[in-house]
Amino acid sequence: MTRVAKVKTVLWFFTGMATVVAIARFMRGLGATTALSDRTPWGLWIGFDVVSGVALAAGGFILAGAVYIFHLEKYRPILRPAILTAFLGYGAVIVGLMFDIGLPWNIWHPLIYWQHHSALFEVAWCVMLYFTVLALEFSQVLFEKSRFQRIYRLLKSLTIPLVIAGIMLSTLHQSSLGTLFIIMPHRIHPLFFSPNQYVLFFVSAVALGMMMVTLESNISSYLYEHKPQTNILKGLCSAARYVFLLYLVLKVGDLAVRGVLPKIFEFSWQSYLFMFELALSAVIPAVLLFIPSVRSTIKGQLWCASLAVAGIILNRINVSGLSMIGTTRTDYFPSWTELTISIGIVSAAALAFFFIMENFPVHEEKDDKEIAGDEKGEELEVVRFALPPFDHSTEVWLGDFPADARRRYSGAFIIAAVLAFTLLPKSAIHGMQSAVVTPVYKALGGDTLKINGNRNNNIVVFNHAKHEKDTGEKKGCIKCHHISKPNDENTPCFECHSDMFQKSSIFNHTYHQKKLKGNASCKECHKNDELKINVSRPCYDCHKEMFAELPAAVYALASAYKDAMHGNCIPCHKDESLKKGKKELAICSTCHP
Amino acid sequence: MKAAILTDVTKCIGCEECVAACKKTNSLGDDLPVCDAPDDGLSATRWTSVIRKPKKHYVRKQCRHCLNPACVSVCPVGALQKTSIGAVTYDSTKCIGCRYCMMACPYGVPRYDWGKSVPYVRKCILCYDRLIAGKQPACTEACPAEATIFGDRGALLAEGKRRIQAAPKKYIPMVFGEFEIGGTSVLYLSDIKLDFLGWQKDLGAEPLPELTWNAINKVPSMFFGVGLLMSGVYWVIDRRIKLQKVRMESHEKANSEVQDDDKGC
Repeated sequence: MTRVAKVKTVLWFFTGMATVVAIARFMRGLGATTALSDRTPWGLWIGFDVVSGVALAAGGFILAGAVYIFHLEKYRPILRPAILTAFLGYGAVIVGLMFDIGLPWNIWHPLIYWQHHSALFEVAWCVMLYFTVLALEFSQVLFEKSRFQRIYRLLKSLTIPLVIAGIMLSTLHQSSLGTLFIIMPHRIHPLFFSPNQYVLFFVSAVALGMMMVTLESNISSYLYEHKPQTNILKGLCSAARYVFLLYLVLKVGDLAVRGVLPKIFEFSWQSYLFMFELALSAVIPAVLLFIPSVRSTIKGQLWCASLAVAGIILNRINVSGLSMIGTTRTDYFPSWTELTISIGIVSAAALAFFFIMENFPVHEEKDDKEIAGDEKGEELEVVRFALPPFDHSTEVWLGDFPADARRRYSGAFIIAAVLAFTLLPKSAIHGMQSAVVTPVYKALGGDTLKINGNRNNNIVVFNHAKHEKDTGEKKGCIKCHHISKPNDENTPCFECHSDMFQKSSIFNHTYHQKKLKGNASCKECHKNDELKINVSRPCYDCHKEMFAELPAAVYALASAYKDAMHGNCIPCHKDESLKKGKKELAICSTCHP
Repeated sequence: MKAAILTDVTKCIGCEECVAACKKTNSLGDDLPVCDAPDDGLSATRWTSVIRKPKKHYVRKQCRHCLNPACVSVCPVGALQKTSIGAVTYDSTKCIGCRYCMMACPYGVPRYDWGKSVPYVRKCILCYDRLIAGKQPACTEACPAEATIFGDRGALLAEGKRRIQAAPKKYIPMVFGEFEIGGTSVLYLSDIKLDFLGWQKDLGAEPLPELTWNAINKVPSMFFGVGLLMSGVYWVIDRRIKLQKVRMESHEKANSEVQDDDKGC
């Protein structure tokens, strides 16, 4: 198996998993398939897929500018792959956004409802326009060898205006992604918040774009077993060091001007996170890139680019998420379904990248004139189409047999899909409402359970032994644990305790008041002695007949909430207070402060 | 009239009649258990809640209907609008579900229908339909203790100040929401600090949209500036290369002519 075939198998695997999760996401909604919550409305999909994704695809406009505007012809060989990466990157961003936004079928709404004061509106427009620009820029490659030479020539004549438009739009939305976070000073930790976020985002996007091109070019030469473009990339790295230096100066300068520099040395986890991010995203790349041997070797380029890419992605994730943990105290951690979608989108984009690399002339001809007619043939074919090696002397194809490859990829896809389906949480299959399972824990000692029904840690104590006894020992199990209701594991309390939401057992105060002839009768029940805990007479003082049938009908007369709770706690508290001589255990205010 | 609500924390008895009335008017239905929601009691099915604080203090939380709302300014499609009457309303037909409003709100008020496959943003809309019909919001109507009252913002501010003046010892001497983040339509009088209503203790007096505006107003100049710069750079470099080519060619021509002349001789 060739290197690229191995990678493709893995990519198909992740795409398969993501496909199943995607279906669950659109059928059952965000709550069922993500860990997002009201505390954390933006999660991994915004932080990584969208905010980082756009920055990762910045290489396209940088190289297009370098080649077409600054006439730096030496970068031409890596221009088309960079534009392709950018095009697929923006495609991935848009797909990622479709997953994240709640009503994806309305994604085109910014086209008709204009809101010029929203940073997101601006980002939406710019991304949309720039995606079109990239599509036009890249479609040259598709038409180059086709019959439609007229379209190709038209596209080619549009190159310069398109490149300029691309740079204008990129400048705008790369920085506007930073503007998104300017309105949240209340959420973001001061080390990560900046009113100048848009400048920082733009400069770091430029740096990231350069590093991403370096990384991606080296990886694709490795996978296709081609000679890496080390010399060209050396030039790119050499330019990138100044961008990193600028970024470092701006970042530290911004902190200093805002007067939050001392916060770095607070040694809280935020300050450690910030130091780590700054080292990875600015200090280390800036230092490494000033070392000539790092810039000019494959190993050096790979290491430096990987660190820088990881660092700047970390920056985006910090700004859009991690820096808010302190204020919102969220316990958000991406669910495996979210991670799968993110990885799956990247995998699908990578597969598309390989497909285009193998089937279209992505590696540009240097210049028709420069290459002599004879040499054009064989050698060029290998360079221009990234195909597995072909041994010309023996005429042996060194790649995979297509049928084998197809079988392997389909296998990986199907296995992954099945795996994902078995792993899906209940809510992702049945929908969130029908899959609400009450968290029940065993309380310390005895046969008592703690039920955290509202997930607010206001725990209801449930005496299982008593319920067992009252409902008729073993015969009574099915009264609560039955299997006739779909998706129900045990009967909710209120089905028996029908009046549990009343404060006490059903008692119609107004009715009693009327019957006993108005306010004058208060004292009939409410004794004057306010010091006593029970301020009213017990019902059975008057209603002697009420509890006659009690033992037989205990099930129908289940206690109300307050009485049930008191019944659970008070007897034991009383015993213990007598046993241990601790008076406060039996006093109301000990439990009700 | 600028619709507003004044809630007097010292008067609230915590009966939650306002919550019940809100649920009924907006047909919100039962509360479902929510995972990891802020502990203020708000949810997609509960647009107002009563937060219980020590010593029998009950603080009603709801949308503050800011005068210059962050949620409205960030919405990319204008689904959230500050209406002329003062309510911040929501149009579900425009919404794309980006949840930027939830991120931008300094009080964390907007909530989301996480459990649904067609989810909307949910928050108090100050009973906009009732306001238009000339009625007051359901919550203020339902309050049995007159702890939360409806009225014109100016009048309610005056009323709040009058109450503080009448009993200076009873209140913290300020109307909460008079200046906070540019002023809010939902005002509070209180004898305890209300800093737990927002994400930060001090949200400042500056309206949040202005922070973004400082960046966004640079967009047109930046856009065309970059465009001009790039076109300029292209033109200059392209011209230089062309001139150089012409010069080279003429040089070559001259050379060859000289050579020709030499041959001729």
